Amino acid sequence: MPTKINKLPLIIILLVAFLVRFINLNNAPALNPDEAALGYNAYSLIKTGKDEHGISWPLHFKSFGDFKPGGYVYLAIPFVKFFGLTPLATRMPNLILSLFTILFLYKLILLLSKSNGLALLSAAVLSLSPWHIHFSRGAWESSAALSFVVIGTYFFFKSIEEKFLLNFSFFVVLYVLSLYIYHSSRLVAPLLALTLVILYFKNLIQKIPKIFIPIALGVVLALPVAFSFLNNGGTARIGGVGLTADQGPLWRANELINHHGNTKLINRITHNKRILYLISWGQKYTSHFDLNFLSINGDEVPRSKVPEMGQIHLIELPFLILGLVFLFKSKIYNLRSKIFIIAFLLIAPIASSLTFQAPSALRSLFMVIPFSILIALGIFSFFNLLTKSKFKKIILTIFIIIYSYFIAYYLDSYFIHYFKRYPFAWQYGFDQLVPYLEQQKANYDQVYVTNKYDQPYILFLFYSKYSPVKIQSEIKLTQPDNFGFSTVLNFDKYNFQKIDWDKIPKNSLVVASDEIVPIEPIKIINFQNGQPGFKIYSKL
Amino acid sequence: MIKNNKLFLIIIFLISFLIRFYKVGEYPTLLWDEAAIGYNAFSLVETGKDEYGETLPIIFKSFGDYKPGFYIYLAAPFIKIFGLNATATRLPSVILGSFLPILIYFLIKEINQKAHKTAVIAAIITVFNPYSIHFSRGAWESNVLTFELVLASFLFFKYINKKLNKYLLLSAIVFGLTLFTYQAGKMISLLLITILFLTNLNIVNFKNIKNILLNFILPLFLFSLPIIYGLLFSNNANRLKVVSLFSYPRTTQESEAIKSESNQLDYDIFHNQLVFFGRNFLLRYFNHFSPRFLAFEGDWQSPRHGAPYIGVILYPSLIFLIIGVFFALSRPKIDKLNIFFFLWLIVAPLPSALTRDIVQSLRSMSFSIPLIYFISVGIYIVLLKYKNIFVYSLIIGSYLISFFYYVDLYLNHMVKKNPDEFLYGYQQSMDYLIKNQSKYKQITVSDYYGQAYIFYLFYSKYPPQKYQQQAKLIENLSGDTGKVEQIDNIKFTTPDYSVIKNQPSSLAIFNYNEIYRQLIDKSDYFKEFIPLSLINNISTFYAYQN
Repeated sequence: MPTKINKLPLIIILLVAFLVRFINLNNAPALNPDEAALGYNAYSLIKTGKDEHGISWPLHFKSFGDFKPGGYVYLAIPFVKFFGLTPLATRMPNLILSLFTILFLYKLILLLSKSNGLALLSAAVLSLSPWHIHFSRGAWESSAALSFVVIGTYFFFKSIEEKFLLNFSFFVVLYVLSLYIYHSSRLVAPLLALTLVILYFKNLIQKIPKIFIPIALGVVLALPVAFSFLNNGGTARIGGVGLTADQGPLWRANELINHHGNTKLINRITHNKRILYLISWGQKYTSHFDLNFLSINGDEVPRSKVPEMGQIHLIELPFLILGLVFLFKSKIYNLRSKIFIIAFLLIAPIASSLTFQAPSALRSLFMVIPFSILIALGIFSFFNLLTKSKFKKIILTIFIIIYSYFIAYYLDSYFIHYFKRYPFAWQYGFDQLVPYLEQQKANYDQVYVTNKYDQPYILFLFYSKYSPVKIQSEIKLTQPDNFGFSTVLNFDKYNFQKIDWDKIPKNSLVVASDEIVPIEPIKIINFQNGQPGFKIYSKL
Repeated sequence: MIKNNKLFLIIIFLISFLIRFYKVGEYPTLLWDEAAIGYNAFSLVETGKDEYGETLPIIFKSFGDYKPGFYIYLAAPFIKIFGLNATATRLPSVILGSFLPILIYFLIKEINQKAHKTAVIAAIITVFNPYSIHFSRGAWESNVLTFELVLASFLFFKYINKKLNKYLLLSAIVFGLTLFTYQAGKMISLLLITILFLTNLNIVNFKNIKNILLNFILPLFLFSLPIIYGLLFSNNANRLKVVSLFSYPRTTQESEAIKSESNQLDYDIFHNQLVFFGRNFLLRYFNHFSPRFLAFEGDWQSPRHGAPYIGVILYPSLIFLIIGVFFALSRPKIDKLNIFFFLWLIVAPLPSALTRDIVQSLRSMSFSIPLIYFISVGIYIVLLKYKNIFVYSLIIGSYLISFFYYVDLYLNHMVKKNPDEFLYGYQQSMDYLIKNQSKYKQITVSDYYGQAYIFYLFYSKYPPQKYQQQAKLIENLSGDTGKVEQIDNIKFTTPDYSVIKNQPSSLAIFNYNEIYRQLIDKSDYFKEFIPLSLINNISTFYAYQN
């Protein structure tokens, strides 16, 4: 390895990465309820040492009854403390961690391939990846957990090279911490660790007994989250979003047995629901590798996707395939690194495939790392092949122009069209609505707010910076719905319910979306596409 | 591995034939095109003319969809021997489908003598491949086309190896026949010919150019004359327009919505029609490579194109396919065999991807050939690496289980899941009608499933001379298929109970959907209706007599 490496390209990559992730981060996209919950609970901890439900320093936050892994809330505490309770402060930890992901991917690839060019290219691909940008912009626990895993992976490989005890401890601690942040990580991180241990078993066995110190440390660190998970209905949450929450295979089993018109043993075996769930799992798992998911349409959930865009830039697809081919062919990675990259690719969607809705870009975000590595390898190898060609410069120029077009296409889709096309995906208007209502509410007995938008109460708490002490005594969750989610129907003067004009008492302020109301609104708050999002009425 | 080649190939053929021939006369139910093919072949045998009285046509008018006629001529001798029935109509497809495994074996061996084991595996995979089985068990022209493409490629490589011009000429003739076999044949043949020349660039030189022109290009040109004539001078191209992807641009409404989010310039750069078509084309193209299509659902738009809840290849094949493709591509030097099939793999879905359908297994059926090849390469590699009995039994075991799972879905579930799609009950209704028709003055038969007339002609073996005189197709202006409304005293239309109940000496055959719509099932006279075709808990057709 050359001793002197020019740091400038890396700095530029990180700067560009920072810019695309930071521009207008406070408002684009608007804060969603999960983010608001993370931010507000951090705020509540700062002020009272308890979460919104009055529980002291929890590891899983009850929130909407979904018991969110708590790591992100703790990461957000210093930022909320310092910058106040704003969307930007809530999102800052992820913004910074996402830059660390890019930095440590660079260091990891440099370590594995000894090629500065390839390492830079991998970091550059990740920095411009639609998949990674999307989940860097917002308080996404998934992206934060990814960061811990990538940094941890770097320290694992570093520990094989030098300073075993220190680096291996970093690896263990970072992997364990990722368990505190996001559900998917609880499956993916242990499987990745297992892969690493198996691949480097010969190296690790030599480190006995030294290796037991970090392992013991890891076990001790992991115990609290494991207990907390089991105590807080973690298994129930899995039931709510797990594979069996999809009733399709169950119905299919009944349908197929009905076709036979009898319940002979052989038919009950072939059309057993377990077998159909296994096949359904196979379809969900492989759907993460569907080329349409990757390069044309992306995730189906509007909050996880921008319009008319896949998870990677279309131009990257041929290089991804080329990268896979060259992974087998070239000698730039050694065999164990190659196996690790493939294993990473195969392990990354496992947690996601075990849920009711697949493919999910959010839950399978880990895939972005092997994909970036492979795309970079594809581009790198392609231009290496052309070294001797006299057309190299021309081809490179054309490539950069086309690539730039696709990047521009993505940025256009994200910043210009996204928020207008899917106004319901993110919760627009609350940042204007809540301050307005706070001004007006003194004049009315009650305020009635439509429940058309997801979990409005938490956005009200967030934007009004409602006193955590007060909410802890007032809060009352509803019964959980089919997916295990609850909500809060009222606090202070606010009531969140379906707007039925006739049933609302006099001297109330009413916030409706498109419900039929017989009088003219006193104020309208629009979505970004110009359509009215909130109509405010005064019922006297 | 296999020493006795001849015996192996005979066994392969027999198993293949058994799977494709088993109950082929009764399952699955006969579809519109099959009935049309059968009856037109019958008409040719009896009179030398098609159903409209056209003498030995190349293109058959049929439902107004102008079918390329090769399959009909193939079916004619079988119908001459076995009479007009489903088995005879389907036999050409069954037989060619049964020979396909052997032909694939020879094709692979012809391209590379050393690839013996891959060729053997490919033959076995073909025998049990759902994609190949499904379209071999019906009079699907596309199945014949697929056979022709493999045969023509085989002959072409035979020419490359033997340097005998007759093989080149034979190859050209078979390629020429594809033009008269199936609509999509024109595009895929052209693509495949391009690939064949690309993989054998060494034959294209100054010395050889005369040979190629004389023995390949010229015969092909002669074959395509009628097609070119048809494209230029008839409204045949209408259908192409209906089907083409490019007939469906982004709607004005959608374009306006995008412009309202930004401006005209942004629209022109990032959201113009070219981008729209490009994305739509790729969406369709990639669908053919999706695990959903390959292993889990198959052609999810058309239930008639495969068994439900399963793809076009068996589950273990998906894994071997991926291994096969990446192994073949990552070898230090990629040989002709792999290049040829890889290029075929890439172009095969094009005829489907350029149409309005989101995914289509029938139009792109030659896709099955490169799939089979790369699955076989995958298996070969795994077996080469793990030469132990455990791996062998694991592979064979997983294939057997998947195959029997497929067979169950095919035989016991396919038609029952979608009786409407499979026109279930046409046969029973027509049998009932033919048995009883002499008793009635007026007969009305439901046309709910469409083209009921051809099923009447088919099952009654209606004398073609007699039909040719009264054949009258009412054309559909939108360019899709037309319909025939009357033969003798039989009307093919929706029977109206309120009219028929007052008509003495009449018979009506209702589809169950019409029964529901006319609220007959809710009335007390429903018991006078005779169920004709029971399936699941319903009957798809009912007879009513007055």
